[in-house]
Amino acid sequence: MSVWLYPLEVNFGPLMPHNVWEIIIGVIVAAGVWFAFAKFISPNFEKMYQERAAQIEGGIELAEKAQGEVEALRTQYKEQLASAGGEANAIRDAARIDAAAIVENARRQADAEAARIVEQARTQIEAERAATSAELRGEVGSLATQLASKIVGEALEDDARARRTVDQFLGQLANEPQKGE
Amino acid sequence: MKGLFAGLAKFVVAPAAVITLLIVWLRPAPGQETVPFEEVEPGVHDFDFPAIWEFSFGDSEFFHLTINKPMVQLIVAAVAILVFFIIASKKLRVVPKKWQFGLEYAYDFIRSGVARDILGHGYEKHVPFLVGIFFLVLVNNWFGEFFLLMFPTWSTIGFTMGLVAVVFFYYVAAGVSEHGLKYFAVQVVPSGVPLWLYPLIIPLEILSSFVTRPLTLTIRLFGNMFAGHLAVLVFVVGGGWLITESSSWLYNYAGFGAFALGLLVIAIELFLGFMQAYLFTMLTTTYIAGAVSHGH
Repeated sequence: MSVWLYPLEVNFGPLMPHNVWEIIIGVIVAAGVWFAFAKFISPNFEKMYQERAAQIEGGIELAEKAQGEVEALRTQYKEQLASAGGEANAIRDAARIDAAAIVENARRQADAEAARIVEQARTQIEAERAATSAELRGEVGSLATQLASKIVGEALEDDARARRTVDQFLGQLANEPQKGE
Repeated sequence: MKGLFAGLAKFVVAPAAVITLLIVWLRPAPGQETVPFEEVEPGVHDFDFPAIWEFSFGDSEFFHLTINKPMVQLIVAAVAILVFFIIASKKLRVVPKKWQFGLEYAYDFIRSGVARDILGHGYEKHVPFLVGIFFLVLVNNWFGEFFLLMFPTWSTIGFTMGLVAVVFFYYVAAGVSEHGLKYFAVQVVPSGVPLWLYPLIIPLEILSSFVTRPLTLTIRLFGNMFAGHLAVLVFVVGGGWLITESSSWLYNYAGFGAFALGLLVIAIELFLGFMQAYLFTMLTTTYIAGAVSHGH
């Protein structure tokens, strides 16, 4: 065995390394394996594990995102549906109000038109009556004058009485149209 | 009865006939010179290998560089592991092919099954060392059953000492990088122990952390491989000698039984080689965990 162990006078047998190089080679090999695994092998494995985890997580995330989108779309759709119903109601209400307004308007216009026509007719009638009245008054005057002259021609002596009759007549004429109104 | 005879013929008579024929062929011829058992006797000398190449540094045999079979084995194992893992790890895909399942299973056996379970948070930085050490130990253990080599490298204690020296350095360095120089105090001063017990506990803790642990790691791995290889040698060499060198028929048959048992021991050694590699890695991980933990 080794010169180191002579003082001990003990034979360690197989527990004694054959030489120091075995220990040195053992250290070099173990350290080399450690170094190579840390430098060249484990990074590849860790990279693969990370990529795999990222892909799985990414897949889950994507699914969650899609789920969220679907949810949002559904909410939006429901909202739209609800708002469309409301809109229809509003349109119907508005149409009803409009219709009422239109009818009212038309009635008012018709009333106004009717009133205008009536007024026009009345004015026309009034004018015609006035014209007829004036004409008649003139004609009645001349007729009366003719009549009077005929009467006068026959009995002028009763002058005062005739004048009174004519005045009375004219006064009646003047009063009569006012009665007719 | 007919079935019994058929069974006997199949499982007793036929093998016995085959064994007898083999023995007749292998046993020494009458009057032939036989090798005395002392010349083949398995023993410690079976663990000393002649130098393939040697270089002397001075007078002492202890500094004599001797390159022999175990040393070549160790280097071949390391190179084979590294070449295999470097090439295979470059072909890793996120979606594994069939071969990758096996590789990942082997890698993850240590990464998750040992490192993550024992170390917990921050285990990733220790994974390369642990996986490397595991496969280095495993392959060299299985060299004991590999038909071309038939020698477990770690049954040469020098290599085991070198390996454990690296492991020892690793877990002390892990502790120092975690706690700074306070690590040595953390490692040897236990928490939750009354002050008056310190004089008793601290020397024990120093002994346990810095002497017993590396010593037991070395002796356990070396001893298992040494004893296992010796057991295989006893059964295989002894059985073989009884068959081929003994003139006694009884010894010939006994030798056959011993040889068969030797094959069984080799199978057990395969399992033990794995077991020891796993245990070595697990204990290393436990020591690292103890070194980096904050609640010792």
